[in-house]
Amino acid sequence: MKRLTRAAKLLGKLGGETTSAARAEASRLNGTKGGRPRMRAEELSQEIPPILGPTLELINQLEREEIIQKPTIGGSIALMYYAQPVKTDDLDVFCYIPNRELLIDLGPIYRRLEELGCKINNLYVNVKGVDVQFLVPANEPLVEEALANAAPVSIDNVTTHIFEYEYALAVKAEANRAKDWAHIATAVESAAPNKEKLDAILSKYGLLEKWRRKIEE
Amino acid sequence: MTNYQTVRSNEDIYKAKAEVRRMRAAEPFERKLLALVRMQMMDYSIARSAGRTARKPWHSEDKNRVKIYASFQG
Repeated sequence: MKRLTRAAKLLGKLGGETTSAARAEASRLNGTKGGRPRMRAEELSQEIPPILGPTLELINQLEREEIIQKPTIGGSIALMYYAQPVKTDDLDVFCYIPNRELLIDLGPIYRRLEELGCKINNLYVNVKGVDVQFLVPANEPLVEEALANAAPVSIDNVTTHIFEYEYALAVKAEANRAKDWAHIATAVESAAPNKEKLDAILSKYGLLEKWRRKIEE
Repeated sequence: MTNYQTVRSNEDIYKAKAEVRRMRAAEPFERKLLALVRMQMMDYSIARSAGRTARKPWHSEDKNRVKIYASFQG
C-alpha cells in the first residue's frame, strides 16, 4: 500500500503531464509497466466493494418473505464459479414459486422488487446494480433435478445455492444456443467436470450424442 | 543491443495457454466476478465507440465502483 501511495502522489503532483522519467519512477514503485498506479491482487479484498453480495442479500429477502423458494444461481455465472470467467450480461436465478398454479406468474417477484427500489427492464430486473433474470422451471425435469441437487455456497459472505458444475453444463447444453456451446467449450477447457456424473446426466436427458458432436469431436 | 527470441512449438503454446486457463479457473470467485465486470466494461465501451447499442456493465451507475474496477490490475 505504501509503495502505491508514493506512486499515486508522484503522479498526482505532476497533474497529468507526466514525463517519461516520472512514469518510469512510478512504474518502478508500483511494479507495473505503465505509469498509472494500479491496485494489487492482495489489496482486492480490502478495496473492492462486493459485486454480488447486496444482490444476493435482496434475493434472500424474497425467499424469507416466501415470494420465491430456493433461489439458485445457474447459467454462465454458475459455470464461472467452477471455471474461467466468461462474458455474460445477467445473473440467472432459478427458483420455485410457492403455491403456484398452472401458469407461472412472475408478477409478485417483480412487484416486490419494484417496491424495494429495483428497476425493471424487459425480462431483467436491476437488483442492486446487477441485472438479474428469474427463471422458474416449467415442465423442465433437468432444471428441477439441478435445483434439487444445488450446492450451498457463500458468496461475498452471503449464503446462497448454485448449480453443481455438471448440472450447470447440462442445463447450458439443453438451452442449445451458439453462445451456450461457446461457454461450455471455454469452461471444460479450464476445469474438467466429473465425466461419469456428466455422462449420466446427459444420457438421462438425451443430450449425450449432441454433447459428443459439439464438444468431444 | 541483442534480442533473444525463444522458439516455441505450437504444442508449448497450447500447454501454456491451458495452464493459464486452469489458473484463472482456480481463482477465487470474487476475483472472477471482477474480471467479468471488466469484460462488460470493455464490451460496452467498444460497442459505444462503434455506434452499437450494448447493455451497461453491472454497477455502472456507481462512479466510485467504476473507478475501482478500472484501476484493478488483474
